[in-house]
Amino acid sequence: MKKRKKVSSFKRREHLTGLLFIAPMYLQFLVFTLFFLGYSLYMSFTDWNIVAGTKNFIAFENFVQILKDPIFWKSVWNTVYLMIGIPIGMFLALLMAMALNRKLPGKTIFRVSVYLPAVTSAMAIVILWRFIYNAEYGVINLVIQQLTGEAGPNWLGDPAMVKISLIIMGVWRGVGNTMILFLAGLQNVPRDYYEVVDVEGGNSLHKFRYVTLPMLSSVTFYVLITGVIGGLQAFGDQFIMTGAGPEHSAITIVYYLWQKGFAEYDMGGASAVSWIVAVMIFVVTLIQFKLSNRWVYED
Amino acid sequence: MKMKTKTHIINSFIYVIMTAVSLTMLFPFIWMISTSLKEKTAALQIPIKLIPDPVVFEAYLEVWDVIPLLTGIKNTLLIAAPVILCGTFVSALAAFAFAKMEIPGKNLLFMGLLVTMMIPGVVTLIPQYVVWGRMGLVDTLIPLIVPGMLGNISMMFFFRQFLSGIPREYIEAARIDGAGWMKTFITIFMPLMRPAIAAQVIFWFMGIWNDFLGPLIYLDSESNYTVQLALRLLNSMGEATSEYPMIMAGSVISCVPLLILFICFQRYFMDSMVISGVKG
Repeated sequence: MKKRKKVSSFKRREHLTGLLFIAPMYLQFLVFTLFFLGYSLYMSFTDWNIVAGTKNFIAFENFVQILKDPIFWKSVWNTVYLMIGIPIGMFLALLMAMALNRKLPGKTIFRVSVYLPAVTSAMAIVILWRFIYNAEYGVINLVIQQLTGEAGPNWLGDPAMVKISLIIMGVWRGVGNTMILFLAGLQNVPRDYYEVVDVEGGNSLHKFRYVTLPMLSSVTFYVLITGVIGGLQAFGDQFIMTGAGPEHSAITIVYYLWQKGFAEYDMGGASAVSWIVAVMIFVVTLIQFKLSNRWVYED
Repeated sequence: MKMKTKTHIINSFIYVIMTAVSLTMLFPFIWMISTSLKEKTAALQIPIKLIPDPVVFEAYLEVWDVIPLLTGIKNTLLIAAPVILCGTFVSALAAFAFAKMEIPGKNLLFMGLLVTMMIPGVVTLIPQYVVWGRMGLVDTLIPLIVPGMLGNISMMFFFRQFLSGIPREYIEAARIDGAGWMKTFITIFMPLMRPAIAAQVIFWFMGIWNDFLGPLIYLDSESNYTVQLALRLLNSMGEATSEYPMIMAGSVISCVPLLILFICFQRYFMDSMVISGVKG
């Protein structure tokens, strides 16, 4: 009897110490996530403006206004459009990973040069590409002019080109990251799986279709889901490179949010936009998880 | 023999393609460095020259006076130091508790934290700004420091995965020696976690170095600028075309610390990415 009581007080100390150890992270969770989440929901139902000084409850008015705003829909369209870069990047990364997943002397040099853009200063990269894309003296157009004698496209000034320019830069910066992940995934594929295909009389295409692709499906899923979540929150590149872009051709949802909050000081409206983004991310993630049962192979 | 020839052909093909790819990937950097070493008048010369003639370092000296780059670096480090030191410790401590200790309702508590990972940062941005503003702390580094000091969920998740691979016997041994939980954590588990910590710290540092939205919203005066905000001033000079060597020099300088980290810790980088992507 006495002994049991001793054990339980020993356990209780472990419980208390454990709770104490997770306390700071829970403080962050409660204050900086839960509290502000509720706060932001509340704000989204008000006409809170930090310059005009208003703070009235207006129910769904913010949401109605936003959903009626053609520029908001433009920002949704642009954000989705810019995500074309995700599958393009994944495809190129897979090709490169497969090329480098063999015994090649000096392949580290290739790997490092493809990965390099991912470890540089974000702003420096955007400034650099803005220079490269410059219609008059950017190096791309200078080369085009030297080779063909004709002027190149107005990369950042032409509404039809802006998004393509942003996608090219995004793929260039992100492809190395994805390649490393695919490369790791490829190295995890057991060799005998390929031998089975050989025994069955299959060719390289069969190996790719029935071994490589399924074995890479969980990495693919990870890359896709983090890419989409990041893509829906795109902001910095556009902000620096183009602003909203000609005819709002580069405005993203978060840029739209920033404009509402920090150019118009409409905090209620900005909160409403943030909730729309959050719901979009939640729905897209949910759909991806649901669909993943069909194509993601877990071992 | 035939097989070997085939392999040789494929490999040579890959060499050619990958060399082209690597040069394409590196070209923007080469252009950045090349421009930064040119004379003002030579930066936009046609036909383009890859190797500057003459090579001048003027831009690298000048840029410090034109934008508050040193202030930016100093402020970024002022944010990064407390956030990373305290935040990493707090995250590791929570991960240790979740992985190795008995806590009532542990799984539920853990799931609660994981759900947070799905909530995008922009949702809490606006009310946070309003509250920091009320406290009179907008245009100080505080709003960029305090939340991070309370830990980082994805880092905690990563540490917990890492710790679940370490046998519990380590704890029992230490407990028998009479060590308390905190002592067990600091003297036994922290050293074991060193590779995981190294990898995560680098990623976090990169995140802080490259953070733009946070500083953009909170910081107004130039004396509080971070690296990214200081660089942004270069961007707006782009219209004055003769400044390109300096703009590129500033960009090169801002890349150097990250490149040094990358070169020193390349192995940790790759391992950490692989663990979160392949096993996470």
